[in-house]
Amino acid sequence: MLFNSFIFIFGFLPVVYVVFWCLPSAKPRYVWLAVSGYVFYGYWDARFCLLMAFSTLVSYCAGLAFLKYQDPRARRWALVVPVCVDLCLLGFFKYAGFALSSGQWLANQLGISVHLPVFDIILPVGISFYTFHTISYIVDSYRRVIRPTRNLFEFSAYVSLFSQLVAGPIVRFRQIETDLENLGGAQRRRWLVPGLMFFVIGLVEKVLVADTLSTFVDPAFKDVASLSTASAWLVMLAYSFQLYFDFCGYSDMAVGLGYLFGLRIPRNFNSPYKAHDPSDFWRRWHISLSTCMRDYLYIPLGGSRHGEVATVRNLMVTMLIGGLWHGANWTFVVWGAYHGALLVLYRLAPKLWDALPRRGAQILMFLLALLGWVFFRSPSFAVAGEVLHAMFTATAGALPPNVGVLACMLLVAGYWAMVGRNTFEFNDGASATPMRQALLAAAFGACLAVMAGGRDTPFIYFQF
Amino acid sequence: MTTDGSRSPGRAGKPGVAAAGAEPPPAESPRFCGPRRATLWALAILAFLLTAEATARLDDAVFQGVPFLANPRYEDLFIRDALGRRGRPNAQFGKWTLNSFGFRGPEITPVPRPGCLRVALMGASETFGYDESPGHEFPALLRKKLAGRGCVEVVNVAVVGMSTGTMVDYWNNWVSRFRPDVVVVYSSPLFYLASRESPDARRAAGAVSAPPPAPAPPAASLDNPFESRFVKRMRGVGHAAVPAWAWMAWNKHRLEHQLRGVPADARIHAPPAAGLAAYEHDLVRLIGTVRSQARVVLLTHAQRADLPVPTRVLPDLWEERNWVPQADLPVFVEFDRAANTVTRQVAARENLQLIDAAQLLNGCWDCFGDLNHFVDKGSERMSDLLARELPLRKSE
Repeated sequence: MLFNSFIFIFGFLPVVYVVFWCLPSAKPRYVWLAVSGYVFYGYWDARFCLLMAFSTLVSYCAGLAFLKYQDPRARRWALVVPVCVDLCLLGFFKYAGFALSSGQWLANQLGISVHLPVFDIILPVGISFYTFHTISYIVDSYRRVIRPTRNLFEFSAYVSLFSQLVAGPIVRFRQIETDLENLGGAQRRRWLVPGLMFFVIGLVEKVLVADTLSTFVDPAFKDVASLSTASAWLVMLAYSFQLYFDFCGYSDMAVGLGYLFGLRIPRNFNSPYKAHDPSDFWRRWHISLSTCMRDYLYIPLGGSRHGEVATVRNLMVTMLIGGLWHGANWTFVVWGAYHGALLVLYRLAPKLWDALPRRGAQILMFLLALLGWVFFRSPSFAVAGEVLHAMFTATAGALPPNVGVLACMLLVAGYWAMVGRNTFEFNDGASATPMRQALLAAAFGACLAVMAGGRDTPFIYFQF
Repeated sequence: MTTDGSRSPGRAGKPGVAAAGAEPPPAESPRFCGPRRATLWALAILAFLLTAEATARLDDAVFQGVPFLANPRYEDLFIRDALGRRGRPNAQFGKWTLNSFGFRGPEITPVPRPGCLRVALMGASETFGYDESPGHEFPALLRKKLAGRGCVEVVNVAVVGMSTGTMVDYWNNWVSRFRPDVVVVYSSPLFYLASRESPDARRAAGAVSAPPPAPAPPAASLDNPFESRFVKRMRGVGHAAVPAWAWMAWNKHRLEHQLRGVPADARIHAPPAAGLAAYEHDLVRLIGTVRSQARVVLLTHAQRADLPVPTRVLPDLWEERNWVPQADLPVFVEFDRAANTVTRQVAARENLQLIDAAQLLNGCWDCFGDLNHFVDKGSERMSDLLARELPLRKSE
């Protein structure tokens, strides 16, 4: 079920919302949120509900173990076993096929005669996200940053919360536990208008901006051989904004949906194309992932505490794994390595970068991010190579069809992403004035009109 | 890497990242009451409707080339003039785009290019393309598949709602001008299900005469520019959202009500012999007309249903019954099978190549969007079959 679908907006959401606020206290609300999360998730493929339930149960039991055992050795077992179980599930469903095909390729290159099996495994949607939720819960419980909950439904509601279940943001239990605790006393009226505002603005980002841009990007990537230099740049510009508005739109909708149920879900984007350097970019792009990577990988590896060489190594390892997290493909690994290299370069020569004028640094960072998206979008190195070749060698050819519309969309999207206010700034403490409400209604109408035209596309981050 | 250092007390009094990324609780929105509240609601609804309508029209204008103020309809794709019913030159509606001769597909030259083989596919909506995504109707796929096998021009000359009998005039008045070398006929036999006339009576009634000419309406109707396109889109969404069983129940109720006054002898409980004879008569006549100029290849008609009729096709049959309410449900399948037998016999008798699409596709549940119309999977299989079986030579 997509947030930008009629079944969600006019079927699932109203039912879940009305029943939720009719329930008198926190406990039945946990149950209801957990059940609705499974219904939402099962809409894709009910079989994978079992997988999520298993992962939830393992992590819940780990939490109980942390409550019961204070002995460091026992606690370490309670950490290692469930984390390994979660990682094995993720590894099997997401990376087994990739590992085997890579192994087969390597064996062929080395002339070793071996026939590895070919797995055709369906990737359960959102597995990367809820695995991160459960692992962060286990690790935080182990570190005593949080006290694990004894209420299975509270924990289930956290893991299967439909607003952030399949494409994030990656919400850590500690970020939401206060609101979960107070769920029985949440005030519906107070959360309603901001929730709707976030949801509708997210819908605008997704339906009106990202999906419109995708009508230019997708056909171009099906036929990269015919890309001219100008069209390659236009297409990559379009993809840069499509990706941002697609994922940011989803995250904003998730925040809005959280508000509708009295839960404050943290922001995931802070105008990343306003970033002035690679480090700034990662403070603004997919914030929930980058903080998780920092807290559960970079810092445990040693962070920046053991000298320059170790810091560089830790940065590269973190970004490589971050790249691989996005998808089981070597193009994502290269994308991660590319951003790792940018971070390392910035760390080694920050003054050179900071000497650039602010606007120049912003544009440079945007262009560097855009180059990275070539690997992110391309299904193979061959495609990425063709796109880069078209971008950097003078190649004649036609411009994309409807280039006037594309130019208008790029101007609007570029202004919004690089100069304008993001959703959090737009909603910053302001109440819903009549003008805002009318704008909101108009924006919702525009989104519905486009959705009814049958151009609904899934969110890009669903595949991760 | 981020440097989110803010911490707040957790459940156990331990430091933790600030709840919800330090987003403060939202401010209380002002409350309005009485007439002010009603005015605000009215304004919001007005803003909603106006923007929705404008966006639907803008979306159509940008992605389908429909004028902002026009009121296009599916029927605009076709005209009826002195030459009979055919595709409107350069018409466009939704996913359907016709070329300057009114055929679905790319532009063609009036006569085949030297050394090229021209294959025309004649039929009704199944051939024209209805439920497939754009460019996935089987003639279009066949065109792509034959692209590497010499110079072959595949032309989709099908017209929605065209029976085998009306194809005769269509061929004589229009299609023959384009000099196809091969004509593939994919008839829709169900047009003959309600036929109660014998072939002799049809002959006597002058079924071969051309339909009377009618003035062509403008390309994109401007007669009612304020019909809401947003409402039209939402109606489509609503239609798609209603489950098949609910549509079936509704159709059943409506048709049974409609049939209350129909005498028992007017009901159709078995494939009518008159209908089959009429179909055979028209098919033979079409073959006789076309084969003087081009080689004819016949296709049997494929359906989602199989015999015995499975329960899951009942919603499709009830939908189909809207066309011939007096026919019992299984008759729609039985008649199709009987007509295919006729097609096979005619092909054998007339010494024509027959491609048995029914044998390949009948009963393929996910090849069809309804009882008769292909979806992408079905048209893919159909085009594979044709690409494999079609003779790609000028003469026999």
